[in-house]
Amino acid sequence: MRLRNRIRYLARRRQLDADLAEELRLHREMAENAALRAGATPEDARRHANLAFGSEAIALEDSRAVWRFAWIESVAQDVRFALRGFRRTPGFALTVICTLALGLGMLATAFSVFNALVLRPFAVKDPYSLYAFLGWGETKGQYQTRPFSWSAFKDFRQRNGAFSDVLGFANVNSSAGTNESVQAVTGNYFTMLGGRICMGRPILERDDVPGDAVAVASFVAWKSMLGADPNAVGRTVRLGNKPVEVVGVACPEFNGLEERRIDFWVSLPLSGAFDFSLGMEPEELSVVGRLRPGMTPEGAEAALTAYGRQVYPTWRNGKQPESATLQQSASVYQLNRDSTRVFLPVFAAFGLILLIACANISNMMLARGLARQREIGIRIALGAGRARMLRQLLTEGLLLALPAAVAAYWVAHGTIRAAFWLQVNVLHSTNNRWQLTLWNNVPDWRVFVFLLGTAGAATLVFGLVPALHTLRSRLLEVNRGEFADIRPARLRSALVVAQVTVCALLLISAGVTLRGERSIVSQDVGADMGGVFTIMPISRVSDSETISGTTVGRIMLERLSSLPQNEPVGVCRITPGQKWSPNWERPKFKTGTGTASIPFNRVSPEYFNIFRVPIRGRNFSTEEAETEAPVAIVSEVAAQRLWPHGDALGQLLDLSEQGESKPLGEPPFRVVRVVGVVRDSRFLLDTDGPDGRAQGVVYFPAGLRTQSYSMIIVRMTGDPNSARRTLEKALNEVVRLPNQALNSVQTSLDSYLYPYRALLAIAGFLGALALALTVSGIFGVCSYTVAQRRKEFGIRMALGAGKARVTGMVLWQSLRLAVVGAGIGTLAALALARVTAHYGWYRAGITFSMKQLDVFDPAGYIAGALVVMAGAIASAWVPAKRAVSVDPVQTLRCD
Amino acid sequence: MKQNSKPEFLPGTLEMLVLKTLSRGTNHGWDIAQHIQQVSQGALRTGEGSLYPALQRLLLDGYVEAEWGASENNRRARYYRITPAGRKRLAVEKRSFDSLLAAIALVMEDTA
Repeated sequence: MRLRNRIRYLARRRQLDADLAEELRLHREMAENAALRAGATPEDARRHANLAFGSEAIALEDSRAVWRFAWIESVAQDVRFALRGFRRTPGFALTVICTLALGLGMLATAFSVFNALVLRPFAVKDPYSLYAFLGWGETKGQYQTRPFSWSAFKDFRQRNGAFSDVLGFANVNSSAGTNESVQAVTGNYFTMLGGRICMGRPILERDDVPGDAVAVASFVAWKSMLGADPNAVGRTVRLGNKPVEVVGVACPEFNGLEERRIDFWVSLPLSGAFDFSLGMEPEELSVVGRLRPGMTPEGAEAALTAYGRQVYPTWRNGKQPESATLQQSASVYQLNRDSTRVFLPVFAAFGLILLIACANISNMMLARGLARQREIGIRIALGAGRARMLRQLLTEGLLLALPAAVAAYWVAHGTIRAAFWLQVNVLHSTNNRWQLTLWNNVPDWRVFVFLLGTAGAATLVFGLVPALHTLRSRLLEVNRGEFADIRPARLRSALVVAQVTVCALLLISAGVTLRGERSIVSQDVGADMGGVFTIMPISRVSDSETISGTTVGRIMLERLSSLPQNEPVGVCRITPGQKWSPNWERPKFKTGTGTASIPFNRVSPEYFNIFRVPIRGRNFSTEEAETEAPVAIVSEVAAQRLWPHGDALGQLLDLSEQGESKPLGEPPFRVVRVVGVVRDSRFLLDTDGPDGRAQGVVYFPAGLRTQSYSMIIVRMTGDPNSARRTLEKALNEVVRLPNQALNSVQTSLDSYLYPYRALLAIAGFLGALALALTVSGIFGVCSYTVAQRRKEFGIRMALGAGKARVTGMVLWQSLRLAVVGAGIGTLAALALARVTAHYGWYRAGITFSMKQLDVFDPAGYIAGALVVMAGAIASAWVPAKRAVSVDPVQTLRCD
Repeated sequence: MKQNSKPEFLPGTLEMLVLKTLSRGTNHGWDIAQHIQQVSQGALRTGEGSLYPALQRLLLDGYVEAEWGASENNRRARYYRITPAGRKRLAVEKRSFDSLLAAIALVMEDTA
């Protein structure tokens, strides 16, 4: 009833207001008439009526108020008022919105990534009941990864006792030069995950047989690689060097259990699961199960342990498994301590940008608030409550924050797209595991909700402080234009110092990362690796298994030697620039001057040519290599360690003292003669740091017909991709080349550098952004204070202060804050360095360790602090010029 | 001057008095105020500042209806009429007011 009447009122508001006014007029007339009748004079009657019935305006207002949605109207009033204010100063509103959009956008970018990797579940049926079985272990929480063979998988699926169903998958590497991402899956994959198929059929259990593989294209691949062909079903595509029939196309939302883009799901025959040609069953399948209804993860782990004990009684070292480890597969990473540990620093770094932006905005609001003191004073004098004024000011903040939130959504969108582009085109991530699907449908509604929340919080941060400050003003003083008891300068300085602190912190981080990355890049590996490929002499097997040179290796070598354009082919045990360290033995070498444990390599004579390592002395001869003659070449460091006082050339090395552990692949001789000395190469990038490198290396000969090598090396000219294709094609003519067997040395070096480059890109970007915001913030504050102090500068100059002196005053004012801020920022960076010094992680073939960066690198710190201070001076320069240009006479006259 | 201050009614009492007045027949604002003043022998004086908001509240709740008509000296005036809902409301208000008065009386006459 009330609501209906109110709405009816709104519709006929003008009419009803007029009615009310007339009614009140009538009332007054009647009161006057009554008074006249009672015998009063007309003047008395009017006066009496006025006194008797109080203010007509208040009565009218109170009567109207009954009808209204009171709070809505006053909010609307606030909004109207704020908008009118913005229209008067569009520059201010626009600057605030842009600054805030930038800050919010950065945080939203970080959140989008977090959302895509952690919060958003995979688009599959009931994702939260899916658990990946990682492996069995000897103690709880620890496990050994061991993929399943096809028959082990079938048994596991039937009898594990924990899962209602289990799917298996194996990654299939793409053929060279193409970058489609292919995953082999068991026949129950689509049915178990509820993956919808928009065209054709899914992969089914009847496809789990040896024979020709079939493929289901993802929607993205259907559009890009199959040209959105409506007759795509039945077409044949080449995957992993085999023709595969496309039997279906998945619906757009389905991407399986992967963060990366999947182009094709193929049936198991393409994975090698059924390839028994080597007399053993390949173990390739990773498994994900769906918990039985009512089964807890703990119960499932117990059930899987029991299954493991029963099926693998001699699982490891003759012992049975004691534990089983599961990991929820609802999203890429689970929301737990580990993911928090990874994402917290990211959020902090991106959040700092927002903080700087908020400080900028607070300063602008503060300046504007001071300019509006008189207005606010008048409004308070006219009876506006302070609470109402506060609401007014916060409404203004919110009105700026909302468009900023919308803009930030697009900023985040653009940033992610740009980052993706950068990742592919500039950082050259060769590892497509890192080409996330992020760009696909991110940011989503979670990001938007997050943005709205943050925008609200930001409003409070930047809106409330100046608002309270403004409201503290005393009525009388305000109306006289004096604000003696307010010290906005102090708040302003604090904001600038905070900004500079954060900016210095980010710039120092960027500086340290840049120095670290430069030093990693410039670390000479001591070998020219461009165009060098390594080939493991293996045919289709699961684990790294060398095959004797008389079989696969010899066949490969023969084929490679007949390639037209390449240089002579060589062999070796290890190449420079390896990412991780195998157990690299260090035999004990004895000389006349002492003993030393030094890693060794076995190489054919071509090795030194292929890697362009010059030799002092002579190379191994082919005959020495083939007969594994007792000769050696030592690196300079090794020579220095073994013969500190003399030349190594021609000296003898005694290998007879080896203790209990006899190194694998050790040459069969006791005493060898040093025939050459070479520069040191860096073999293990992760561990072969300054001290690792200092160990040097000893080379022994290995021939193409011996069994003493683990990889074939070949140097190709021209485009790496076409070189790779050439090699792949040639080798596949003679053997069944596994996917991991052919590698470019340069590529593995690149992927080693990738995380540092990515970190550098992020740190540099954030540092630059922080600097830009800080400079604009200091510029704003300086301009404002210079404008305020015009009179003072005029007087000073009239009294004889020189231009240099006034300029210096303004610059010093800014620099002083910058020095304080940079100081605090440096201390914060030092504290942070202590925390992050041991940070590192390993995932998906990418290792990252802060140990590779010198987190206390003084140059990084000094550079970061100096850049901030230079920025502070630069941003104060224009206002300082303006201060100098003050005409003393004019200023004094204006007052 | 005293009569200019807000009448010391209990909250909602004025609405009840207005409804009671209107239950005797339609009337306009001035007459309602006069009637209340006369019947209470001058004890209850209603200013326009409280009367008209009260009338608006009653309109809003649908207890009265308003209509323009001619006053006794042919001046356009807005006449208020009580609705059935208003009568029900009046009965309820009267009951609760009576019980309140009785309760107050009990307390005030307690001589113990």
